[in-house]
Amino acid sequence: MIRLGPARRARELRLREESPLRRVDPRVKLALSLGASLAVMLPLNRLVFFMGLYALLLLWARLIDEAATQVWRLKWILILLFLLDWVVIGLDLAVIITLRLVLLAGTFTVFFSTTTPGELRLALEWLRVPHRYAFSVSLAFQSIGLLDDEWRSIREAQQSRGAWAPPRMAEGWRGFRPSGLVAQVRELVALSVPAVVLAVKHAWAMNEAACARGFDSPRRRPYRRLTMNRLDWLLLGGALATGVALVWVRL
Amino acid sequence: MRQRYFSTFQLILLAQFAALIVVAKIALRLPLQLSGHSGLFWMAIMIVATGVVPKRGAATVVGLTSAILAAFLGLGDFGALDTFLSYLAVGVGTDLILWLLGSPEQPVIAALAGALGHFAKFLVKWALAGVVGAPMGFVALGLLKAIVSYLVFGALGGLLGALTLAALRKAGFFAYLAERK
Repeated sequence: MIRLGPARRARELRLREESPLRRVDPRVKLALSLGASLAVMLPLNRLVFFMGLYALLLLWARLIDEAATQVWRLKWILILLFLLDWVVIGLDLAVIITLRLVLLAGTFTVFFSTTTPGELRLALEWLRVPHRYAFSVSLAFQSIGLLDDEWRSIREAQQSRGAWAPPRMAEGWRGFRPSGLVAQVRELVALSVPAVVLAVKHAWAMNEAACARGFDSPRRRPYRRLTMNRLDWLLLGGALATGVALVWVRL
Repeated sequence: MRQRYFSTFQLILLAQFAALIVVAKIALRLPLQLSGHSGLFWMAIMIVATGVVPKRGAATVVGLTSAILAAFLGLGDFGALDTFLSYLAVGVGTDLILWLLGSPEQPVIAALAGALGHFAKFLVKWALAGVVGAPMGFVALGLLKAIVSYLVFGALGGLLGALTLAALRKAGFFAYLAERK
């Protein structure tokens, strides 16, 4: 689990271990998510049918609450857009746009809530993404918590020495002193320079460690490979059949 | 051995910058109550990345990596697809602008690249609005105030990036970096 940010606005990367999709191959989950995104192009009646099926999948995968949270964050935009479209154009368009937005907001829940960065790396390598890039992405995941802690320490140290001070909440835009914007930006250099140096030092240490373990060796073999099991084929086949049916079968 | 466009160190470094962008987005929130103010550090780091790894595509690599990280961490309000495309667009946009304008160490060029790179996020929002069929005029109207704010903070971020690069050069950082290719 990665947790970062101050307690009030913390973000977490938490896996849904209880979900049956946790055991599914990441390539299948990626295909399901991409396929679901394409469903926004369906006409209204087929879209409603597809969303019913997708809700059943989320229910089975115990991810319906996760998707609902994602959609809930959009509630005001959805309501406003729905009313606007209904008043100005018509109910049909208002419904289809709202459904498409809901689908787009929740479509990748099945992938991101049930996949680890390591599994993502394996999926990227299978997709012929260069292994050095896939490796750097998974390193970035591991560095987030560390960089967060260290950068916060730098900020607190700089603030305690009076190098810069964040604008106060109550003052909002005026707290940023529009008259002295450039001067304020100049003060922030005291914060950005140590952060950059920190990132470079961190990258160099990881590069050395990786090279010492033969990372760039031409005879490199992956430690783990992805394999498809029966559930993976079943889900993939089901998704393909649904896609074909939605495009060609008359409802 | 075949010469690679980005060395392993450069790829890891760009990924670290991407992680820094995500950290800045979440942890370093300035209480300004204005949309887009996170672009200040976001674009600064993006510009610094293109200065430290002066190759075409560096900003795109940072954008792509930060897009994957941000989508995994559930950033953004419109779902993972919008988040992924927005972060990626910022990287691609910055690369394109710098390809047209030149070195990110010039404050004016960095400010322009910051503003237009940050603005690329809106092109994604418009494109997605077009895909879902939302009336583009209303979307543009709704985003008008935010657009100005995004351009301003993007430009300030670019400027901060150029100033950071200048400070790093003055401190001899690039000589230190040259030993670590």
